Amino acid sequence: MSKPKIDLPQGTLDLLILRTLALGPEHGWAISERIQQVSSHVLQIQQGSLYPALHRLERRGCIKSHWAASDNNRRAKYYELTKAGRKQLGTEENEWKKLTAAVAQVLGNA
Amino acid sequence: MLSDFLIRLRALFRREAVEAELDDELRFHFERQVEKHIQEGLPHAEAARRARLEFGGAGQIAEECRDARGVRFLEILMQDIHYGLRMLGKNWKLAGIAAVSLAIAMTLSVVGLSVANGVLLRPPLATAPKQLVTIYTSTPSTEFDDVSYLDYKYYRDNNHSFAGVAAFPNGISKVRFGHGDREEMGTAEQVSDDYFSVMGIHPMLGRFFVPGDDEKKTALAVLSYSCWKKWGADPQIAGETVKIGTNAFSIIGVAPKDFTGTVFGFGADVIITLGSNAAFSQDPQMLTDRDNRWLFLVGRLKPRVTPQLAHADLRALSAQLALAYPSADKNRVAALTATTVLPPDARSTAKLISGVLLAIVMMVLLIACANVANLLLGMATGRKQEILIRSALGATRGRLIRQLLTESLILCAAGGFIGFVLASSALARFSRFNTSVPIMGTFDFAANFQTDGIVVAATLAVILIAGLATGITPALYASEPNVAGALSGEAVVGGRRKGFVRNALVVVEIAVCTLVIAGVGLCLRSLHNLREVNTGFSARKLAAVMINVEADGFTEAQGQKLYERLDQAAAQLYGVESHSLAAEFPLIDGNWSSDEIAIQGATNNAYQHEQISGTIVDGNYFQTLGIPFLAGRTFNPSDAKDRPEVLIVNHQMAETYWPGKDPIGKQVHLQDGNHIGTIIGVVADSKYNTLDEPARPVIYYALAQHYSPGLVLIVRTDGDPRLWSQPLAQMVRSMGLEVDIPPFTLDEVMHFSLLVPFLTLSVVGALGMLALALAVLGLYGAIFFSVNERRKEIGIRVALGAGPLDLIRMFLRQTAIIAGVGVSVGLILGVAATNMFKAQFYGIRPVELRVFLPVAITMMLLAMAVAYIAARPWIRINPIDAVRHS
Repeated sequence: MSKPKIDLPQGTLDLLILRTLALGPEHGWAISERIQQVSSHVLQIQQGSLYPALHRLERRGCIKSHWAASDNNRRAKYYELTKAGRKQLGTEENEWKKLTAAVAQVLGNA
Repeated sequence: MLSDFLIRLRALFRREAVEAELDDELRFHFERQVEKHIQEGLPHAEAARRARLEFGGAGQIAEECRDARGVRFLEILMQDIHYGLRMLGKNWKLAGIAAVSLAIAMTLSVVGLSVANGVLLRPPLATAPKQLVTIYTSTPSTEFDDVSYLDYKYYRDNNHSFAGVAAFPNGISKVRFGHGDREEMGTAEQVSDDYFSVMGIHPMLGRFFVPGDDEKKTALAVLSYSCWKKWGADPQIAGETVKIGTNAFSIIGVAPKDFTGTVFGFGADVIITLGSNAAFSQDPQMLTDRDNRWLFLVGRLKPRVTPQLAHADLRALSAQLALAYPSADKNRVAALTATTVLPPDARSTAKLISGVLLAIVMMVLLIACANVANLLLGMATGRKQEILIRSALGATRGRLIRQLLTESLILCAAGGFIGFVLASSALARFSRFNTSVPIMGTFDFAANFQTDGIVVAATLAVILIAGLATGITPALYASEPNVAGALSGEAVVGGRRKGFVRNALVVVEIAVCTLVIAGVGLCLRSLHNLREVNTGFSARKLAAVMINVEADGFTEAQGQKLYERLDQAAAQLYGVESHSLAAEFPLIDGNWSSDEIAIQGATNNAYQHEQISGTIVDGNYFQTLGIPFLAGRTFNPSDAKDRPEVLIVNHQMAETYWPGKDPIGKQVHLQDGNHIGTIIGVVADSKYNTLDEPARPVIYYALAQHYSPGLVLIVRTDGDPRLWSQPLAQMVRSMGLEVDIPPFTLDEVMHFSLLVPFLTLSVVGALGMLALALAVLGLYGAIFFSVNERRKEIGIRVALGAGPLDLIRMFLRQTAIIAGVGVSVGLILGVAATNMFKAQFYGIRPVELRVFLPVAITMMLLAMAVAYIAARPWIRINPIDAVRHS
């Protein structure tokens, strides 16, 4: 817990979830673990926002869910990307890149 | 978004399964997190603690997940409905009264909406009615004029916009039908030969007319479904013969059940072509005279032709007609409008009638809504404590308002639903019935009002508006946060603001009710004025029978003989004091001829030309009807056909053209000046066509000098004139004449001429009584609730020495102020309404005190009586009980 943690900027959680699920179906706990791992524990996901985000994405049709046995043989709810979700991921990634590039440019010029 | 919808649906209807899943999902996460911490080397208890810390409130997460599923709104709504029903169930008596009064008002609203929709918006029976437009012509002097047959043919054959153009007169004729051995009076209508194909109506049996039938003037007839049923529903009827009047028509088909005729409100029995009608009518010019305008046209637009394009097309055609036939069609422009069941010239009247009906019905609804609002306001007081507790437990104000609005919406929806069902069944029951009208005979009434999509939508809108309007004030009031008040136990004391709101509701109720009752009073007064009108003739016991010697196949010479025989026979009839043969019976709105005459001026010798109404009577007419002679004499046998023409004029005529002079012996030029008539008598003015007509000049011509093929035999009897119906009919039949229209009496004619004001009074009166009943109910409730809330105050007053009389005086004074404001507002509106509908009333002054004063006094007394009854239980209250009670 030595590393400083960053709160997620608004709206990036959906992008992170979609990106994580692009690698394959996962359940909620694994999604949050993976994001933490991949971000070298910089990004900490509040459980309180993860699940509402998952449910919202499911309702929008970006992801779908099914129940399956998890690695420790317990029933877990797995989420996977739908076609619409893949498209959504593409556009959101693009937008994010544009945004970060623009922010970097501004910071660089300052 | 199908997935969105499915997930919402699942969340809504499989709620338990979804909740369990959510639970499982969150628990799985939690347990994995604990496991993770254990693997990191933490003891079990510490691992669980840390996981819980990281996780946050499970309940809150679950709530946010539910929000994310997007069914919160619906869930809350269902909760609210559930809760609202429980609250209404607790107050079921009051809720029942509110729902019933709403249901009654809603029934009326739905009927009103259906009638307005039926007469103003609904298209006639046709396939794809949206493609139909009604075509008429306009001149600078007449906005809506009919089209002559020749012009119709020109429009039909030369336009580029219409797949077809049909024509029909907006009229029906009562005719004598003969089919097999049946003979009866029925209703005939005429249509152009392409009418059914343009409208897209298919025969139920046989076939319809084909283009060309009009020109060939073939005597073909189509039966309506109801007529076919009446005549035995013979499936082989096509090819049989129906006699219409004296002419035989061959039946070619039967119209479908939905087709009731071309003229709104009347069911047709037999439909014939324009051509065959013209062939057998007394007016053969109908098809050949360009000035004889009697048709409205309906055109079916070709695909992709807009009404604007069609209008331009028609205008071009009417310009061509104006060039080719300037005498008939100059300045005449074709125009078009959407096709509804009414012809364009009748729509403004229909708008007025249905508008007034809707306005009154909406006022009744307003009163019912005010009642419901008052009920909810009363209920809100009792619930103030409960609501405060809920808000203390965290319910937001918006949530509370939503909850309270749900209750008013439930009430309105229940009332609306009951009203809709009642109105639909009533309309279905009464949209078609037979009614017998004196003089005119039996009519088949077919209005076909239906609660269609438009009415359903309008009803839903009314329910929504009523629900919000009734609920918003109580909701705002009840949800007002006042936790301190609740804790101090003052929650049940009504605040000033609510008192104001309640008083405002009562003022609105009384004002609207006063307006409606004043309307009833105006109708009543107007009808009374008409009844009391001096008709100008004193006889009351008159019976009459109409005869038409020409229709029965007699020539003029034979007719003259018949008249003499009738005259003698009538004199022999038992109990007949006096009898007369005349062209018109008074107060039947018939076709009085208007002849141009030339009168030598009073001041100079120049002739002035005037149009003067005239009628033909025999010498006994004035004595039979009791019209007094002011000067001169009546016609006598010496005024024969070969003698110089003699005339009798009325007082108005004498006053207008020979003021201050003796008109006897004066001469007027008749019939283009070729004829000279000498005035031999002046009679008093009387009413001729209608009771509300102003006095006008009238000339009486002598029957002996002017033959008329249709006459009325009038007898003055010495008993109830209805008893002479039978003998009169028998006598006429014994002469070889038909009695198509049963003999009638003066009373029946008076009744008929008062039918419209009488019907108006009945409808407005019934609605007014309903409004009054609802307002009394509402007033009672409002006073009851408000006194109930003031128990503590009353207790203190009693403790300080106020007696029952003081209390009553106080309540009455307060009610008098509120009622006074309401009645004044209602009367001001009443004066405005009087001026708005001036033309509909007879003999009503701009400020009709003879109506407004009694209405005001009645309303005030009624309000006082209701206040007394509602407050009485509280005035003998024991002060200790009252102050303690909470």
